[in-house]
Amino acid sequence: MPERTTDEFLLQKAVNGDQAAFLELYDRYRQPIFRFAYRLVGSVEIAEDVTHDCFLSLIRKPENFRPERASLKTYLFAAARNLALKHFRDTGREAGLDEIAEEPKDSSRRGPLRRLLDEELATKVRDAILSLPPLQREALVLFEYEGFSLNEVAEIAGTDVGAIKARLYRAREGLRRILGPYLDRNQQLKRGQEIVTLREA
Amino acid sequence: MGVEPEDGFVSDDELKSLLERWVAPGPSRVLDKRIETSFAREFSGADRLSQSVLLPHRLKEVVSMKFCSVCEEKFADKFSFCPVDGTPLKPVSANGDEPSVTAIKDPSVTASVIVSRDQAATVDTSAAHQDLATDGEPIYAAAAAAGGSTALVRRDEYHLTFLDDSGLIARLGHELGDVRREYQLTWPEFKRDPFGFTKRTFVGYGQMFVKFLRKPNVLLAMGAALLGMLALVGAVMMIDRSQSAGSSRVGLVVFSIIAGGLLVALFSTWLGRERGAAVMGAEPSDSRSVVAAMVTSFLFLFSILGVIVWLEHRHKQQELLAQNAEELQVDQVFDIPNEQPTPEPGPAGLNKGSGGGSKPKPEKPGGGGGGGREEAKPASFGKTPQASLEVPQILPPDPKPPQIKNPSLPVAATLNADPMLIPPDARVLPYGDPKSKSTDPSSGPGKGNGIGTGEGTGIGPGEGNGYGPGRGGNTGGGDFNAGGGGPGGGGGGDYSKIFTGKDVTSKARLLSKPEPQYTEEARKNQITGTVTLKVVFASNGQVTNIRTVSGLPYGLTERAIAAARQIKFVPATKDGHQVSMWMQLEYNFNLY
Repeated sequence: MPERTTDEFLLQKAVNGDQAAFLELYDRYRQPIFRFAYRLVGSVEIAEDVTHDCFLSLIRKPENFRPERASLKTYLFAAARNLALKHFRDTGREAGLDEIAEEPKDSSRRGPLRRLLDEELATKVRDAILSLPPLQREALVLFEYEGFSLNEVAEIAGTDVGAIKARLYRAREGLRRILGPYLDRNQQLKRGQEIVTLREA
Repeated sequence: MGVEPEDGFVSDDELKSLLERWVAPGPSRVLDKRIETSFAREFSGADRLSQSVLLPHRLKEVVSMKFCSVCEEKFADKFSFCPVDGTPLKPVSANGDEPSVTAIKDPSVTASVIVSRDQAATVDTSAAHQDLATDGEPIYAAAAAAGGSTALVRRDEYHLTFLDDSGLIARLGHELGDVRREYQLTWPEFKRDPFGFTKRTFVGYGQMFVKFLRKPNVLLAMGAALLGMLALVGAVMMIDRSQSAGSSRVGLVVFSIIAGGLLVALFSTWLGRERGAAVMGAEPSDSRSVVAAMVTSFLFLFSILGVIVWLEHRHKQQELLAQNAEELQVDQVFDIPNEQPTPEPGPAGLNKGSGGGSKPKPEKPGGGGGGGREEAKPASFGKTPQASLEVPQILPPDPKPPQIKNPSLPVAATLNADPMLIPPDARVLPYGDPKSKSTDPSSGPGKGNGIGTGEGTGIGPGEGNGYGPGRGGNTGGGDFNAGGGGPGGGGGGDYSKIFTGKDVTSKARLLSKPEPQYTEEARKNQITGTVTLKVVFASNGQVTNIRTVSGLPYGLTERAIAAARQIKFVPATKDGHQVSMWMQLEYNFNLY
């Protein structure tokens, strides 16, 4: 397994109360776990809750993690996934869907029109993904955004590769249906950004 | 982990590039702290129930708590006073096996009872500064902290925080850090429930404020501070006034003495109290140093003020000496008027300006003239002849041309008036009354060969050889007087002429300005541009004298003129009279 061998070692130390080891572990995976949770639930607050509980579960119930079955990373993602699904079960899907203000503003150096278009597009993509059913969404996020293999996705989701393939397929179909108008334009955006600017003006 | 065949799922670059437009934010520092704290809590064994998820505390905060003796609650280390009732908090260890810092020194006293005054005297003799209150109510609230530690403090004790062991900068940094942490802690809560949070905050601070005010020494201390400030401000104001008026310097000195005495009396009252000086409810030792510091600062301030006053005084004395040394002598006193008297507007002069005549000093002109040749018709319109005060009048003006053709010794008609007021008129016109509207040549019904209704050889309704009402020549009304004040005429404005914008008192004000319509031909020919018109906004409220400065073809100029005629406005005024005024109008014709 290509995972860093110290993950388990660090976890062992963390379980025994070594804060530095725990923080080191947290530092390794905070970014992807939070990102994953955010894309699943669509809200920064809930994503933080999920991330928090996910890492805390490592030391609260260390027996749940079995290194012989999966890597720590896979385990963390699975834990985060379960927590997010639990959140859906508990509160319904609408919670926190309307917090567009939390969107990252990474395009500030471009022109205002392009920035506006980019933000609009990002919002559309976000809304499209958040409109997918949770299982399809999780498969899509894990595969497309986090770069897991189908096998790993299946492992995290606790199902087989065939089901993941089906979910991914349906997720993509759904996205294509929703984002159809943007797919063509996106190609244009990649070729030359001036075209859109002029046409919109 | 084995590689599975993933064809059909890896090649979707188009969709993927679109998906990448949704960028997820990174986890915040708040989350990091939260997780750090949660971990610490997991292993610290502290009670989990009391720790809010949204209000994480660091490990060191968990172990160092403070205890409020009044409400018997524990608070985080960052609080100096109880957030509920403002009582100074006493440090208490988390394990509760050590007495807090200000707990009584006798370890044998661990009773968690409320003792009365008499009992208190027997309980603690070593803590001299916690001496007895004079009132009979229970004054000690000894309460047991968790784990049995005891904090015995007086109920209404109030500790100054700004005189502390650590330096000012360090304390400031500490406070700012607290503010930052507070913000980090409360922000998520505020975001979750803004209204409830605000309400809770206000209610909490309101209770704190009321409790703070209810403490007996607080109002006194506030009053003292206010008095001190008033004394200072009063002194500064006195100094300010004493600079303009030297007589109030005595008042300043008296006031300073009174204020200083008042302050000293105020402080010494507190110092001399038997129960110990209690500035703002502080402990006696603190209070003394505070009073000393305050007195010192006031002395310092007053000494600075004294130095300033002394320097000012010396400066003035030196100036006085320097003035005496130069031995200047007053030669003559000039009375320079603040403003020049302007002659009344009236039928006086015909010139522009506000002066009174040729004399250098401003003086109102007087006099007038009149005449007529007893004709039936009113005096006709015409120009005035050359006016002069030096050359005596030989020939009175006459509207009719001279009878003798080509005289060998022509004599020009003149008026006896100031040429500053009645300027030479170069127009080719017969002589006459400039204010008349009659055009039929006539000298008017007056007598004495002049023009008008008066008597004499002048022009107008007066008597004499001048112009206008009045007597004895010149112009301006009343008896003759050669006016002064520089060039210009003595009032007598002619409000019938057309003024330019800079001559009027208030300009014409537009009420409505209709827009011109395009003509069909102009629209077809795509004519755009500006039509500029020069018009008169007449005193009767009409737009007259329309002249085209620049026009456009296909009837656009006509449309602009038609629009200009429909302008409604309030006429311009000069000296209270409605007058006509030149205006330039621009009409932009644009096709979109």
